[in-house]
Amino acid sequence: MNTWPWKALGPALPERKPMPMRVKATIQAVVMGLVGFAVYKIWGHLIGPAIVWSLALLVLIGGWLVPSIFHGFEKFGAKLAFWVASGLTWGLLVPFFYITFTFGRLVLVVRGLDPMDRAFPDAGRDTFWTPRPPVPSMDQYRKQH
Amino acid sequence: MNILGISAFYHDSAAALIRDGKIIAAAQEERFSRKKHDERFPFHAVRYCLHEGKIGPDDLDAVAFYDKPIQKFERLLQTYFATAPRGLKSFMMAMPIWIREKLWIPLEIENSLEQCGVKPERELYFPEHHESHAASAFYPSPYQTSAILTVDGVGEWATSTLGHGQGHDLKIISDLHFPHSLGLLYSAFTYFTGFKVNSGEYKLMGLAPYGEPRYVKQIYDHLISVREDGSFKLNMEYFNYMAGLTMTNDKFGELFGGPARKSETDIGQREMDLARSIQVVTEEIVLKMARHLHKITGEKNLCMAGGVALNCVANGRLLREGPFENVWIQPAAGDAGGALGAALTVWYHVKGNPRQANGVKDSMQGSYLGPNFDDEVEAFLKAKGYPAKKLAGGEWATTIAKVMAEENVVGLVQGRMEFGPRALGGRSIVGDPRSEKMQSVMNLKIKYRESFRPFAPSCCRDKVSEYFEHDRESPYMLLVAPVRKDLWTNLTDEQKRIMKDPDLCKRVNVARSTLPAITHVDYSARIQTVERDVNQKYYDLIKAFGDLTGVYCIINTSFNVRGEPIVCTPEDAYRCFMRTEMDYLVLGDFLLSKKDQPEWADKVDWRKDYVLD
Ligand SMILES: [Fe+2]
Repeated sequence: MNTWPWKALGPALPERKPMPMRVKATIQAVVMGLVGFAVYKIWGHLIGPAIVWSLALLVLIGGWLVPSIFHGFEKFGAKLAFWVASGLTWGLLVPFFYITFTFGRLVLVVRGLDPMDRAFPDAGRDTFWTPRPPVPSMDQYRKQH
Repeated sequence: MNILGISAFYHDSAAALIRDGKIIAAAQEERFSRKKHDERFPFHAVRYCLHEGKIGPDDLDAVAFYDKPIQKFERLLQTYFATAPRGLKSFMMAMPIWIREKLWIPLEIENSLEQCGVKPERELYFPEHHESHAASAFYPSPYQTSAILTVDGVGEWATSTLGHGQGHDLKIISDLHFPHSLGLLYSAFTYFTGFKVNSGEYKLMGLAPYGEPRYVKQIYDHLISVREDGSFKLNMEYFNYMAGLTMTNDKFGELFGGPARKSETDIGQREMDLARSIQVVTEEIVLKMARHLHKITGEKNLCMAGGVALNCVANGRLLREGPFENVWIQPAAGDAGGALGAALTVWYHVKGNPRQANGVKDSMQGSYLGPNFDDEVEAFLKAKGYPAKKLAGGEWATTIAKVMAEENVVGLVQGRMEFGPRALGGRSIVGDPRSEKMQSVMNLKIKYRESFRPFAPSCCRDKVSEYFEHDRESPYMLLVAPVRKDLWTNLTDEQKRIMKDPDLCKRVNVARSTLPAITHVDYSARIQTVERDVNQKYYDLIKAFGDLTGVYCIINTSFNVRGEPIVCTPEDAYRCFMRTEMDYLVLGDFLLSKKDQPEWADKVDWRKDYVLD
């Protein structure tokens, strides 16, 4: 029973039907097969591609015949994707943080600037209120900055 | 013209809908999502508001978001420039969310409108954060002209603003900038005394009456430099919130004799004294700001919003000692109210539509701006097979009053849900304030907490001065006033001994007045006055209770358990009713007795559903 109308308003959230396991397994196996083939073509080694093709075969068999194997691969894949994404995030953002902000801070220190106005107790100032200039035009309200 | 206001991505996300300046609906996302202080994009609240306003695909004219996200992002980056190489952890936590969500707000808005069946090509507006707060305070207020004060943690850069509202025009005169923030100073003490930032501030305020203002001098000497006009700077050597994941640092701990209290451990005298001290400092600063604002605007009215405006003890003092004749505070003073303020800014300030306040009543409609399920309760009860008794006409109030007078605890769901953090009789648990056991029964068996804070009273507006040193409206429970002296009881020697007990819950249970459940240890109470033309049923209930008992006041606490958002639907209410030891539940016109209900079996440990606040 749907008692509360606000929940029923408008079209329901688009329900995403999960892709059938067999289709998913076939696509994944084909992609892995192609990756193995590309590696073989570019570098000419066979061991690496052979491992990838074996895994592709396992994914295919799992998807069509032994779901537990396929689910195991899926879980492993999700974890791998998470670690790769986290690694990339940290790998990119950490150097960015130290290079950009530390350098920026140095520039501020050398120029004697503090955007945070942290001087304390700042006895020379009568007030800390900052007058707010009038909004130049109503277009300003359309902007995110 | 229909304008949708949205606040999101910090805490307490919400949506509001106004039509030609009239408030049609407003609600917080947490009530629908059942996640307390839900900060995610308020999809459900948007959906509800559009439904309440019967908005068709072409009916929405504009959407207003409550702040300027790019300015906020700029402030964040500037903070890292000012603190690097410190701040990496905070940067790593903040950046992915900004990159994923916060920089793409127009897209989020378009998506959610589309999902609600509304064409997304609407005018989009981004008023500034404190402008939204100021608008939420001034435009719905009863005043045609007024001074406006907003104080919170931080918006884009501003942390407090002084403003002036005249008719439809609202001008921000001046502001204080991050990191110098009264809201963040209060939150730093909230953190240091072991409560959760952004929700424990209320507890800190409730703890203050137990302490002595022993640390006021230390705070003024080391932490804050205040000017006569209420402006101030913080000494950032003691705070960690710019670069770290905590509010205070070791130096702060050294100043106050040791590290921060760990959450859920015993509260000591130091914490009580700290609570009292920061409360005193907060009140003094707010009073100074108000005096300065009064001087520069010459107004007799004051409107307030921002998280600090929820400090009802400071508000009470401002009303009693401040320079303004009248004070009106937005009931959703926190960021949820920004959704409403943003929409009102577009209608009045940007579009220039005229505004006529009547000088007496505000336009918040009692803050009952959420969904109303009264007409659907019967179908719900039938479908579920829950036994209930329909109460007709005057029988409704007298029957409920009678069960309350018999020391039963009653869950009350009637009319529209409240907008803002307080339950005001639409989604409340009510009881008899005369009962000495009610305080501990409600705390331990219903709310599943041990609290050192008393409950709040709802009182008939025309009777309020019979119980409190207060003769004005306080419809939103945002003012604290003393309980009248003639209601105080003489404490026995045993009670005096208990009042020194280290266990605060024992102290608060000492009956200090003839209304023990609502009287704090300093004989104060957080009052809600109820008027019949605002909430007829709730008024009639309190009146019926008064006619029966001689006391025109009842206990009113929010309908939830600890960590749970206040209930929204009858379904939420029934679940909470059955999980706790509440005796009766009122759903619209129906009264349900716990004794008659079928057995309730929770398959999960529901206490784990909610993160303790
Ligand atoms: Fe705010």
